[in-house]
Amino acid sequence: MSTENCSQSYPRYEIRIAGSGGQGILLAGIILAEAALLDRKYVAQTANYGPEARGGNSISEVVISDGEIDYPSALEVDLLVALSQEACDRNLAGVKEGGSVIVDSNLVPNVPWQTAACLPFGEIARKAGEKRAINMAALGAVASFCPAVSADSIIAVMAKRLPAAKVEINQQAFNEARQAADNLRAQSQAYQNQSEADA
Amino acid sequence: METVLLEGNEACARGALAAGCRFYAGYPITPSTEIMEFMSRELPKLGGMFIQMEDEMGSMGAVIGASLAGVKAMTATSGPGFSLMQEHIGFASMAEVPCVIALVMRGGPSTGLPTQPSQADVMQAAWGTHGDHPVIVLSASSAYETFDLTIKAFNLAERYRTPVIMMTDAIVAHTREAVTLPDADVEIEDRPQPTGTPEEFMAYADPGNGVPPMPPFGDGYRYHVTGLCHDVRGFPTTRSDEVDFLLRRLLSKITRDSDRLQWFDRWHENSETMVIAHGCVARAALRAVRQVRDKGLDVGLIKPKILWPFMSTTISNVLDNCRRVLVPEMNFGQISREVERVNQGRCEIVTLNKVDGTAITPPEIVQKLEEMQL
Repeated sequence: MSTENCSQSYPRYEIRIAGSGGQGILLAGIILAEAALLDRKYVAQTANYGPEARGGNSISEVVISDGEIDYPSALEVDLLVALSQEACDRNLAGVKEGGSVIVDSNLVPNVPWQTAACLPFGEIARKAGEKRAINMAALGAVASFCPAVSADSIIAVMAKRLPAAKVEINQQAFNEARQAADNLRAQSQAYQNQSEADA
Repeated sequence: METVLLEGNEACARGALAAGCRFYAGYPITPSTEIMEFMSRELPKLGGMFIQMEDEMGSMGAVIGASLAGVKAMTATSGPGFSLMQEHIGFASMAEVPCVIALVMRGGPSTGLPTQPSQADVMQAAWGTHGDHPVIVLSASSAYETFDLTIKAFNLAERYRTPVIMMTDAIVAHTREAVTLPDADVEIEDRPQPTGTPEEFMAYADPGNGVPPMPPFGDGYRYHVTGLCHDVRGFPTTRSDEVDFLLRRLLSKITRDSDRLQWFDRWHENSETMVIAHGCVARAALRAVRQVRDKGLDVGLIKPKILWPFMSTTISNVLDNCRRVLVPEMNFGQISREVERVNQGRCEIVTLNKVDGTAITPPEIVQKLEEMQL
């Protein structure tokens, strides 16, 4: 038996990673959640997938907060990562106003979102030497966009969670994508500043 | 103390090991399979034994055999597998064999929705096996609670010599959260042992608290184990006085302790409106309660951690002090019927039932609570 004071809910940062089964969507969510724990945040990671082993829709959600997390699933997504067109179509509606959307530019040709970041994660992974590292490349962009978790922690957890022989390649894909996302954000910021100056 | 990120299923398996479980027999089924995977990996390292059986009937039989030999044993399953286990769960109740069955609820009936959550097995957990029988069912709403309650499930199984159902759902089972693992050994209870000689041993005599001592098979204390109604030596009987004594003892060994079995968390339990919710729905309910309190509504939450035997005393006290109750459930109303039975017309009981394979969300509970205030 316990009694708890009913304080207010703490602010949450919600990330949803969506794709098709086999893309490593769940693993990406788990690594992100462990990184948040390493950063001493409260975190809850949930998953939603169909009965298929490959294909089908796969979703992994990570909720990060500075305080206790009452409801563990996403309610208003701050950051959506979509690695298939269907995943993007199905999940855009859950993104809150002003939220960020990151997609694989080759796998998701149509993104009806004003400020989506389109990056070639699959290509970045292939160039790093392992096409299956697409999920870790996507995490690179998450590290760039998400203020709630540090890149250092994600890299540290990757070393712990991934097969030793694949750690370096995955970290390379992660870093490449993070750099690309940083550049994209810088460009977009410069463009916005320019637009404001022109106005 | 070590804090690790665990999903509910892994927390369940770790709790079992911490409680002293050294035997697992099972058949994999979503969304419970991770418990089995963890046990297959970790049990042998501790000198324990893991068997993948041919099906759930065999699994439950193996668990009973291991427990009779003196080893703490468990299995884990979900809807269809739980249905198959019912016959042997009844045997374990009748022969008083301690064991733990982790039940991770998914959508049903039949194979239903393998990967999606539900709470539709609350009644089956109590009454899935036939005959009047004692039952203990625990319900967890987070990874940490799953760890904690799994340890308690083993302790209750040993204390009362009965199967205990450790219930979660697909959401709790697959939500990864921080779990702080205790440094020191956790509090562990073991089945009572005989103090007399093997010659004078009466396997099913009442020592006073309704729970007979249980020596491991092979220790020299010879007795007969059967699913038939039996006398104090364990041999089949149809004598009405012996049958009556047995069935009343089986039930009362747990019901006499019901005051010790009122386990719940509470938030603002003296509010005008109370929500009663367990498992994953309690998480949504807590957020909803916080949100409507921010808007000035007088609402509180009771989260039962033990579903059976039903906490009539606790719920009755809650009903004495409020005007209306909301019971949100991911079924057509299984706990709400129990609440109504205890209520006897005192309060208004409102239900919120969702059966579409998705979780009840905080906004859905908020909306219902706001409607109730009108």
